[in-house]
Amino acid sequence: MADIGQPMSEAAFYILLALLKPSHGYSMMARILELSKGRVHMGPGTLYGALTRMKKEGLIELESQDDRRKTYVITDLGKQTLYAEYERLKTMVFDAAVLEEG
Amino acid sequence: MKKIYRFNYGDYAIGENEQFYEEMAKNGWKLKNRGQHLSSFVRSEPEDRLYRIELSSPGFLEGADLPEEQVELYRECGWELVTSSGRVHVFTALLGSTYPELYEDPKQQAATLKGLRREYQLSWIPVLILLLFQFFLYSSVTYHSSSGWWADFTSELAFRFYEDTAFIILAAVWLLCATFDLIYGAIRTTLLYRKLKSGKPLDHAPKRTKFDHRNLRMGLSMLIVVAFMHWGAQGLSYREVPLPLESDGPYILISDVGVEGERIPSFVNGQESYLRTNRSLMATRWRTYESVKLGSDDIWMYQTVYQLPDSEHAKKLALLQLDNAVFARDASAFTKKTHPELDLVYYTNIEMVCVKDNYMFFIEIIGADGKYNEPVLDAIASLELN
Repeated sequence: MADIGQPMSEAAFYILLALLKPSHGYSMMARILELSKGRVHMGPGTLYGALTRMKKEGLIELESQDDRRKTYVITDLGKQTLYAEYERLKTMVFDAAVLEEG
Repeated sequence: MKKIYRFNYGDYAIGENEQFYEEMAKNGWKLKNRGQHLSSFVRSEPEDRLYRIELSSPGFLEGADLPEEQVELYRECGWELVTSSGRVHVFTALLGSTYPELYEDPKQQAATLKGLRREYQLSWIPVLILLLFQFFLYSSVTYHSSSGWWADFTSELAFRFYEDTAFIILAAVWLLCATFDLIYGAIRTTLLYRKLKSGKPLDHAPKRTKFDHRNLRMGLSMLIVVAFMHWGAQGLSYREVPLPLESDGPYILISDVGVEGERIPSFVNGQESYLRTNRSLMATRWRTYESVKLGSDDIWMYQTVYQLPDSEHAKKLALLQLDNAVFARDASAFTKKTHPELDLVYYTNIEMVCVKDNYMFFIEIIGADGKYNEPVLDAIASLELN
């Protein structure tokens, strides 16, 4: 069985998606809410924890810092990982097409 | 501004602490500072305020402060940092202001408990090292009888219990409370960690039982305070006076032994003869030092008299004294003797231990080479003890 990669948490997926454009803090949370059509309400604690982790893994990086406000953006590795996850999810949805046939 | 203090819940009781601070705010007391046991509040308008606690998990040698970035992010979301105490950081927001909960995913919040868990798991290590070091020092430095250093240690501890009851009780109570706190905290932290890890959200308004841990903490703290005051009272009972020329208590003087000499200060340090008294829960104690010149000889006597609750205790203490004497290496150095009016007698050339009723006498006479042993025993026997 071909390995299509490790599943990514929903929080990480939406953060990477949001950081395709540089963003920070509260506006990141608003962007995530917008991208998920009001479904994903991320708490600041969850967000901060995920940002710290993903920064360590090299999926995002600091783009600029203004006073205490840090602006992040996705890295090339982050983009790679995001697309890989997107493909994985598409594959799974496609394979389960039988579910649409009622 | 009016300020009050209240006992708070332990670091692991996140929901209980949050609910506690919210209730205080509803009653017009706003949280100012949180300490390890107490929190301070200032008078304010009653408010519907939310409090949320964030735990930090600093690495080795890192401070427990939250990163600036995290505090700033929380502020942007409407949460203000009120106070921090160790790993606990308290945030607040007015009910109704735009705020998301800090964590919507319990599993994410579980990760924040890692620091607290590690702290509980490791906190007994420095205590253990300290204890091991003490034992090592004790066993290698002091002389030990044939029964070994552990038997000597327990014997000395038992002896000290009679001598300094309040201190031993205080140390024991404090140790008990600290151990209980540690074990209870470790268990509660692990339980909460497991609950969050399994996906169950934190309860911000937990049901409170009568056997509240906060009440328990107050009770234990009260116990320590009482033990401390008892120790203070014992210390206050201490009195020192110059040794009278006629005995006015259950102790003997060199003159009672038939030696008519002249009182002189010690040639070693100029110490004048004295009488020291104090009480502990287990014993009332008289301690004398007397230095007398007889012709060209100097005789000096150290005496400690204990009044115990009953004769059984007196005999027990006498046996402990044999192990803990000043000159004699251990109990085997003493010779046992019978005396018609005394219950127990042990002696060497310099030291004597004897019991009469519920009194125990420990006497050292230096400069006489055992010459006055019999007269001392007779003098003790003729003391009027109530």
